[in-house]
Amino acid sequence: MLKAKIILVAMGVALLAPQVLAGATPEEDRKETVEYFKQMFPEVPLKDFVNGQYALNEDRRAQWQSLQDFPPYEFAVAEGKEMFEAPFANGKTYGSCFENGGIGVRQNYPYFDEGTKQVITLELAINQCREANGEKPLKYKKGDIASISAYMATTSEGEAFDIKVPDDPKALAAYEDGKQFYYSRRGQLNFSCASCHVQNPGKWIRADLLSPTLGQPSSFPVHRSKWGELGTLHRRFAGCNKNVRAEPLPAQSEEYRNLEYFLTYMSNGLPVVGPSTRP
Amino acid sequence: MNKPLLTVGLTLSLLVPLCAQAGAKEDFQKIYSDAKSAQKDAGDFKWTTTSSRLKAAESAAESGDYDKAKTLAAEALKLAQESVDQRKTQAEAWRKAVIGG
Ligand code: HEC
Repeated sequence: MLKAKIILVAMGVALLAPQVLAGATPEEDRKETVEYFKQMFPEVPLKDFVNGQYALNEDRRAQWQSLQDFPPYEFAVAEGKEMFEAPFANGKTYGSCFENGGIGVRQNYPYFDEGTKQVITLELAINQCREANGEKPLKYKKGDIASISAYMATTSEGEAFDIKVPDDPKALAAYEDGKQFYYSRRGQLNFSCASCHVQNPGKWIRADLLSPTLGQPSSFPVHRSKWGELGTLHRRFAGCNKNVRAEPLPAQSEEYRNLEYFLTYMSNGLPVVGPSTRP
Repeated sequence: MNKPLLTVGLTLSLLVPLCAQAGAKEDFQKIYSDAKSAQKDAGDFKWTTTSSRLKAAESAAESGDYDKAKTLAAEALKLAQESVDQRKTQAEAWRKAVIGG
């Protein structure tokens, strides 16, 4: 009797173990994710996933490409460049806070800062730079920060995302936290990010065509016709949370930064293509 | 005509709605505070529908309509409890949805 119990417990452990171990490393997760979407959309070249829904539907893509001739964010990017280059009151510029003067660094964000043990997104770094130089932080969802982030993205155009999870339990925990966020069902409608973007990409949800996880952050910040302006990735996170009647978290909250860390890691190797336009 | 009795009757008829009102206020306050604490317990699994019921309950209470406030707070409580259940379930269930998991 006792023996039977022990065997059952052992079996339970044996059954549980592989589930917990599956995709144990971020790199294994990423490879499995790439494989999953390749199988789901065998006709889509890998690098095209950065175009989100437009990678999946030819009619939409054609419409969108014609829009790219006169991109509605052009002016904002020019303003972003001006702000990026303009000195703060103390005479320094944004460039002083970033590697390589902030040119061509977008693909390395977000990164895990081993000093402060937290995920640093590009927008957080922009505001940290301002505060370190005695300037007030900017609002995180739109406006100046989106323009500066958009300009910085243009200086990395075509560079492959290269997100690292350093050998530090806190870094792995941040990554895991983001992964858990992406796969957890939320809101009154009981949907996870994955319910839409892993299980149903390529399908229509009312007038929207669902994009896949792969390449999702590559185009940000984006100019949405719905917004009539540029918005940051965390603005989009908040919108997707609200759509399932989940209370959104603040832009640049630890939860959203970890989510961005996981999501961008999944797109490692894909090019930076921001800013872009979306419906 | 019995004057004192009439006075008592009148006073009572005036008091009854007032008492009901007081009861409704206390009921509301209890349910509302339960709903608030359940909402807090939901952590980062809060529902927007809970938040809007809570707000609506507050403003109904402010305008003195405690019956309405109570109903809304009860709805908020139910939703908040469901979101707490969701948080607890998802603490493990998310793993089953992972690609390759
Ligand atoms: C109910 C379905 C649904 C859920 C759940 C959902 N989204 Fe979305 N999401 C959409 C729709 C619709 C769009 C717009 C079409 C598209 O690009 O996929 C979108 C767009 C996005 C985009 C922009 C993609 C691009 O190419 O511009 C990102 C990033 C995103 N979602 C992330 C998330 C995250 C993170 C979560 C979980 C917090 C989430 N979504 C949950 C429906 C959903």
